[in-house]
Amino acid sequence: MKSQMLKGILEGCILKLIEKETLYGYDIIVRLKEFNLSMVSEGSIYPLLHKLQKAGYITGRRVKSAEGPMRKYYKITDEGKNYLDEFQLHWRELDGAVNQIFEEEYDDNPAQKRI
Amino acid sequence: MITPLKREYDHMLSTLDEADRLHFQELEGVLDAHYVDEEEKWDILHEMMTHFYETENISFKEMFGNDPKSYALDLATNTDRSSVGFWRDYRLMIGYYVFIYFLCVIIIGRLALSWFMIVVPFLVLIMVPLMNRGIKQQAFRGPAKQTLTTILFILLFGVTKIFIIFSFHERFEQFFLFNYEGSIFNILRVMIMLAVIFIGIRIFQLSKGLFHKVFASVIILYAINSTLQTFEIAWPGSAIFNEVIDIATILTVIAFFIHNIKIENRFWNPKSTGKTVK
Repeated sequence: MKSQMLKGILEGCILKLIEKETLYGYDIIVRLKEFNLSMVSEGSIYPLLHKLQKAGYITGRRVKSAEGPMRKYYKITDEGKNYLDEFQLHWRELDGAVNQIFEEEYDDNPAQKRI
Repeated sequence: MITPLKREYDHMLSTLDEADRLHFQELEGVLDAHYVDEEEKWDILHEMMTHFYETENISFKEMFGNDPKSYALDLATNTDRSSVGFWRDYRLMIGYYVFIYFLCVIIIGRLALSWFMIVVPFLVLIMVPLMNRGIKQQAFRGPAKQTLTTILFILLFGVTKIFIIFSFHERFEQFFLFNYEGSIFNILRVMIMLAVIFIGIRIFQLSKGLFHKVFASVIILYAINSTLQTFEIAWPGSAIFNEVIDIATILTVIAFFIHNIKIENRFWNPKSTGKTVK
């Protein structure tokens, strides 16, 4: 359940990171860890990146690297930006609603007493 | 064709520990079994491998999770399929049954083609996905379904063979499209000529130069004529045509060999490299 929940949220997070700057796989993992998303396993981003690319939200371009093999850098598309706006809107709604439910549980709420 | 991505991937793969290498190979196998588009397969594998290669002191399981098979299945179900792999397997199976058919022709001593044989390509069409799931079981989910597909594949595989063998039986003579009972020499001749026609058509399709197309055309005409001669089918002007095609074939085969020798020598000719020999 945790991994399913994470997958959906990660899509949005990855898109947001790519919107800020052009990144490649390893960079994305580093950035996610900087934001304390260390529970994300390094390999789990590839099926998501692939899915986002298939949906047309990001585009990938291979660039030769002086240090080793070619790296694939991702850039957000206009379609991706629209999807990200939508995602952000839904996330805020969801975040607000979920927080409200959980906060109510801790408060001495009259609604709970009714039950 | 080996793409730069595959070349780099192979190089990185060769530097890995055995366990990690096996996990990557398993991943490749799963993607292949799902007929994932080749270009897409190397694109994603290269990207994963690059990340793995650049991250030192980490194992495959640490990076891609404790269940590599499940990871591979997730990846395979999200990628585009290509029909190329399916049709490659289909051609292989058809080739196998053509071989069985010719084997029957030699053993029975009868060159017969029954209307029943029309069913064979369709049976193979059903058989290929079952074969893929049956043989490459580890690449798909659900063991119960896999056992069923394996049994179905084995049944179809056997039934098709029996079908081919019994299509030669005298009891089904009314279904024969044609039936030739000659000497084993003549039967072999027809079979060889049919193989030549097939190879000629392939050369014609694949070659780009006019010379090879002409060569293939002459060879095809020669093989068709030779087959008709075996069946003693005569047509107006066939006697003259026989003479002409025999001479044309001899000349074309000689020209083909000279042409090939010239191509081979071109690489060793100092003139073509621009260097002068003193």
